[in-house]
Amino acid sequence: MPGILIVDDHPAVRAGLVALFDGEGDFELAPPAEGATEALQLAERSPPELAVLDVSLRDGDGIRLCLELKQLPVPPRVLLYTAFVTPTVILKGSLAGADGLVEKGAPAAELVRAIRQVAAGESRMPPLDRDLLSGRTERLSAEELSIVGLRLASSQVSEIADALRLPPQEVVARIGRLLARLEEESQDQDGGNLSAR
Amino acid sequence: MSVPLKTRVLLADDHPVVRRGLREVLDAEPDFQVVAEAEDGAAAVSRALEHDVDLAVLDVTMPRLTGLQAAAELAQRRPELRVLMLSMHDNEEYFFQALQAGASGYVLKSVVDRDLVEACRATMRGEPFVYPGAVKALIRDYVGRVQNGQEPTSDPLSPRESEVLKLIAEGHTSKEIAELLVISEKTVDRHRANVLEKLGLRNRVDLTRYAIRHGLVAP
Repeated sequence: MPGILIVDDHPAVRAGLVALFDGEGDFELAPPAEGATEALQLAERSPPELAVLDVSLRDGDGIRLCLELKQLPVPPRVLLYTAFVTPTVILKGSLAGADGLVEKGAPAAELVRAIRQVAAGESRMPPLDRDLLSGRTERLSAEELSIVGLRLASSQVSEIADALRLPPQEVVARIGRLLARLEEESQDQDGGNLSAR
Repeated sequence: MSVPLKTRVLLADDHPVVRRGLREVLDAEPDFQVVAEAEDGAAAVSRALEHDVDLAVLDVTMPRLTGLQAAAELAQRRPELRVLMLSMHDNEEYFFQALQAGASGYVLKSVVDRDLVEACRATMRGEPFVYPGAVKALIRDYVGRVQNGQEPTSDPLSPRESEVLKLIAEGHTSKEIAELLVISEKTVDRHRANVLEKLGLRNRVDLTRYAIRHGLVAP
């Protein structure tokens, strides 16, 4: 399994992932990156086949990075790797085009399994709660809603651009704005949903 | 206590991949060997008691018992064990609590590759390891106390009350808490009432907020 790019700002996580993947024998690793800017430069120079992205990075976030990586000429498969799986992260990850999501507390074997599935073209995104979806999207415009709907049905940016008669860059920009807006709103909403980890 | 040739280390962090990474960093050094791992604070305490370890490296934010609570318990039950705290947070309050709990150092996870080995060696030599940001906090705190003639503020809760508070904030029912701590449900309810009273709080939401602010659970 060639070309995995690891992006995480914590050295212990990077070292742990490298050790874990090396132990698999058939995983080929690109040099790991600490942040979004570095990752994007690396990916442009030598496109990875799969990227494992931490959601919170010091110089940005993995979800935004996912959206940008997915716009490369040959986009990688993307697995988000996060300490906290909240409904907002699932929704934002889906909008950004992520192929899978694994919680950092999960056993190592589960992460490896998810990577193999995602690399093989399967989706490992957790299902989205209907109530949550309607709660988060009620303030969106009709056009924004159609982007959300198409994206959740795994439509590519080019397909959405065709459907809405917009340039692809404009669709990406709109998804970017949607991500920012969901992030703002989630500050209040997920804040009330307290969990121990 | 002399420094052993090969320090036996217990690693505690709730993320398996992070444990794996920390193990890589320490096992690469000739003078350290990771001999036990734990996925939460309670497991860290029991494994540190059952294994022959010289040094416990504990993450601050863990389920069941935080690293700080585990450190405090280990300081009582195995005072000769050296303890180093590991944290995501450059947070003065956690840092001071770590010192109070008997830890001899505090390492930020963001610079583990640079600081961990050095911090472990310092800890084993019996020297404190303090990251640069915390030095400033220490000095400010010391100067402030000298100026005001104050004692440092201490935790209003007993260790048991803190344990109960953490478990409530993690969403456990009284019955579950009673089972986890091997006490009666009535005692759990009494601790809960005392915590509310001592902190001047009204309900579970207040308790959870307090628990987050004081590092008992992650936000």
